[in-house]
Amino acid sequence: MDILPALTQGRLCVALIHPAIGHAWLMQPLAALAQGGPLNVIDGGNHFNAYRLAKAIRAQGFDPTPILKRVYISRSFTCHQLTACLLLVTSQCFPLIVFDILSSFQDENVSLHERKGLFSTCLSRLRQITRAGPVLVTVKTNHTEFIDSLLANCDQILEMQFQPQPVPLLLF
Amino acid sequence: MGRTIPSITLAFLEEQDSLKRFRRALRKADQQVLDDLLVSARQHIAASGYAAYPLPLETFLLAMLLEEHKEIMRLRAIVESFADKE
Repeated sequence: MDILPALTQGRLCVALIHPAIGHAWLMQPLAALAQGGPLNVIDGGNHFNAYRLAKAIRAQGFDPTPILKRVYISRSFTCHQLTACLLLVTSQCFPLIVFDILSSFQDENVSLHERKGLFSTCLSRLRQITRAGPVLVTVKTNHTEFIDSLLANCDQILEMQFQPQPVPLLLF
Repeated sequence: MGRTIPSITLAFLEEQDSLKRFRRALRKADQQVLDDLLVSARQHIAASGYAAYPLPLETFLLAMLLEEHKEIMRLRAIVESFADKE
């Protein structure tokens, strides 16, 4: 799936990812994005693997070290941290990729009322920052809570379908 | 809080996993040689972790070379000691 054309200013893109696929496929487009300038990632589900990104950059024929220096990662482990990360986004933080935004909102240690409040803050912040630059949000399809309100507020939905690969015949 | 990159052991296991099909296609004897090479890379995993190089496979390959060169030096010393006796 080519996400680069979808990342245009003023649009909130949501990529729906089947849990069996993971985020590895996103590394090729991220490598292409990072070559163009700074790239900001908010990792909500601890899915960002810098080694895979380095491999993707090398596969495109570039030295990963200078390009990786342009990639800024913020990791959040709770919904409060994720909300804080989004609130701290400045006008220099684009393009912005938010990995697995709903992951930390599945935390049952935080009351539903509080999670709803935080998620609505996140949504309004996302709508606000999307006016300043391209934003891509990824969501795992098994995180069903809050997904409807996120999809209702986004401008474009990209869906990454799971296609099980045929099992190769084993000769020995 | 949290790590910026996965641990080097995880990176090593991932690289090892990516070689699974290659290993499977090798002859049994060659599979054992490949396993030995991976063991030698694992001996220097702490150094690979400390290097924090973006492409860890390259440090693993270097660790394999290091062990191979150590072996060559050891064998060379043995050969030279035999040559001195003669």
